[in-house]
Amino acid sequence: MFKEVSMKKSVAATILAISMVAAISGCSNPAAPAATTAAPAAETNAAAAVETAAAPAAETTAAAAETPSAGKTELNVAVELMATTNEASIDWDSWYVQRYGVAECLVRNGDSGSFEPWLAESWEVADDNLTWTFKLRDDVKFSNGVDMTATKVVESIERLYDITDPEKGGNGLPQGYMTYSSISADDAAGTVTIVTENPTPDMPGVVAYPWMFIMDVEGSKDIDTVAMAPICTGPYVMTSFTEGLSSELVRNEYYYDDVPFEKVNIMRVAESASRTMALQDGSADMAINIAAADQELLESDSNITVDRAAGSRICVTFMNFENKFLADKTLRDAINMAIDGETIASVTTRNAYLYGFAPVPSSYDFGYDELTNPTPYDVDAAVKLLDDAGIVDNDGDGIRELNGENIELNYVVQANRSMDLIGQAISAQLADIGIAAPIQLVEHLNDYLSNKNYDLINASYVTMPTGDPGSFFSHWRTDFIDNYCGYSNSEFDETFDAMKGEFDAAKRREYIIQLQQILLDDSAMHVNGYFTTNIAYTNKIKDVFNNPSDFYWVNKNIKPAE
Amino acid sequence: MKWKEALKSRRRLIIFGTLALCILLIAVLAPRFMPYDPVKAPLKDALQAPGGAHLCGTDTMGRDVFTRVVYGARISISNTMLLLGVVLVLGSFLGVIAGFFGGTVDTVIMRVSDIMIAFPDLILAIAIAGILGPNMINAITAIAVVSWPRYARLARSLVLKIKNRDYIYAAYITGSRNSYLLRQYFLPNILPTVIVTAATDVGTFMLSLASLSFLGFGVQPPTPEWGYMLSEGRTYMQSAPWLMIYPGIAIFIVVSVFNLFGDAVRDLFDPKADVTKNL
Repeated sequence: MFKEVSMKKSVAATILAISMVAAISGCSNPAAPAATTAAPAAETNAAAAVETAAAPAAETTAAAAETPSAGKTELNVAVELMATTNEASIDWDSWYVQRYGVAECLVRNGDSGSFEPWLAESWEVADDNLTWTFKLRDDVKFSNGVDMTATKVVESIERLYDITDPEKGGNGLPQGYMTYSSISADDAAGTVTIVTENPTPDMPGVVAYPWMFIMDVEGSKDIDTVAMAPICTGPYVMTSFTEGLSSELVRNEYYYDDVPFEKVNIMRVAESASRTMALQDGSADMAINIAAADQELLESDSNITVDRAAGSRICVTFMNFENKFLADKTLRDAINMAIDGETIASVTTRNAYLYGFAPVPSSYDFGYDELTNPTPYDVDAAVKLLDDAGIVDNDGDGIRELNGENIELNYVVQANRSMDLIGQAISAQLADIGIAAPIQLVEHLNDYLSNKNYDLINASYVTMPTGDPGSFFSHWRTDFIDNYCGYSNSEFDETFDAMKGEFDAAKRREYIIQLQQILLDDSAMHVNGYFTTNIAYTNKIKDVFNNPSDFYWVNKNIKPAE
Repeated sequence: MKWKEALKSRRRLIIFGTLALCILLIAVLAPRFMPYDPVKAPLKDALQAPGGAHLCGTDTMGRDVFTRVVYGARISISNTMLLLGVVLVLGSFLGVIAGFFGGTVDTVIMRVSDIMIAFPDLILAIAIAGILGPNMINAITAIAVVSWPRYARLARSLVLKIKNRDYIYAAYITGSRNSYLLRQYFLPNILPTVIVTAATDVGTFMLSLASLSFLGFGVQPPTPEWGYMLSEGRTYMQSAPWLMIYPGIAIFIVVSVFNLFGDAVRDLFDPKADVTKNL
């Protein structure tokens, strides 16, 4: 009997052992996910932290390790954000297709500020101020080997305008910058002629905008541009795209200039601390947007350079005019006066932002010094304003009431470019004066903006995407498609319309100053400050430049260091 | 004296019980003695290193980390106890019903619990919390939904163990109503085991709640909660590590103490326990 029992036990043990081995070997290799960690970390453990940063980069480290830095053939880029698609007509996804080095436009925002030729060698406008002629380079081929002709350029632009046509249900975004009455191609002369409907002084900037990139419409017709980039002219060609995670690119063999790398790996590393560590351990050669806290750390590392640029990007807090509380001007004034923008920008975001109260950054010549801020930071004045208007806390719960209701505002905030820190700071300061504005952290802002599904919202915008801030004010023009706040002011509308077609630079400047002052007087929004973008890179590569426009990350200039 | 001997052999229980009690007292009383406000944000004091006026430094909004850790104890512990209570009551109730009535009721409850057990629990909790929206009540709901099966199965097995005993039949025959049977016989039978299981689970629940908060599904800012404080400190891991170290230490201490306390309670009830363990 003893033998039987032990026989049964050993059989059972064997079966258990076999099934365990089968289960373990059945587990596939853990595919390296992006750096979002789910471990409830009990303690900071530097080793554990490096593990989570190194794990997502394990694939690329393995690949990079095969090529010594003397013959460096791969570029590894760690980015904070990725678009969900590669389709030019969807939201701002085109920015990424261009940033990855896949797409190019006719004109480029030069590194020193002015516009440079790109796919177009030169351009000029006729005396009617409406007819623009772009002379194209004659040596450009798409990545499938097809020549880029004037006809192809026209097809690409027409495709964009067709899909985004508001009358067909499109998002109308390109139309907000420029609409054309005709566009034609002359293949023999290599020119494209665009006749705009209205005078468009910032036309070079308009065609430099990322969604105007030139694609081979015919060659891309079998490509699902949501999941893969279309055929374009840039130095690199996309071979794989995993939404929110990574993208791989290879050299475009038909590019008209030298392309330094064989392969480019884009890795989404959402945590700034992880991007910093990726640079430090070499799994990334360059990283986009390092948080201010880590910049100081990296600058003391002699192998790493942080290239900062003060561009025209701002963080603005929109106020939803359709909200019953925010329709009250006294409340808006008090909100603006309760926020200590200087401290938030310099201390809370650690100088990631430079404080300024006006929509157009102070470093540009659009009248910052001529504007007056009617609602400077003054908590006591804010409290007095509310008390005098009878907006007080009647029931002792710490929240003031307006028209008998507690003032509670839904504050939508995205954790990107320190906007979550700004949101928390503002929420705390508003709570101090009796206004409840708890923040709601969200992943993507676009839907909240376009559906006006917020009371307060932090948004990040490049105010001068076309080299001129005029178009930025469409966010407050009545009934415009990108007026996400419901603001409506007839004086503003008239000034905006006059500004839009004005070719004379001095007159435009005057209009823009007036527009800013109207918004400030109305407390239409709260400007938090102007963002400093940065790109940090190791000494394995060189000629990285952080263009102030924020449009370009990977380009043909970046090459291995010798 | 007998009780002196009993105390000696239950040294672990005394030690960890006292520590657990201290933690509870700190959670309840200490906030009154904190010099700083855990929620108000004196922005200018942001990210100061530990030392001087701030024992554990300040966070990105200038709030004192030590104060927030102590207030966080209150939130973490009270929420864990609430979660525990919910799971205990819900799970035990369903388990007793299933065991007592048997038949279809038993089948339905047990199959539902099987489905819940088949899912990886934290993943399902994240999904539920994501759908319901991020706040503490929803996080507690989510974890309760994935955790009740354990208690239900435990309660059910304990009920089944005595259901067919003679004294139950005797009580039934002499006219006792179901509610009397449940109250008088079944409940006292399951209570010790279920409570011991709960005691050992405090640590697990606390970590689960901290995990959900870390991921953004639990408390929302500016509420001080350890899991969320860990999450906030991530960006500053290298430049301001105190943001993660102190909440991390707090979680470690509290979870360890409650785990060891639970072990000691279990040893108390378990007659087969090795006596040498209680040193």
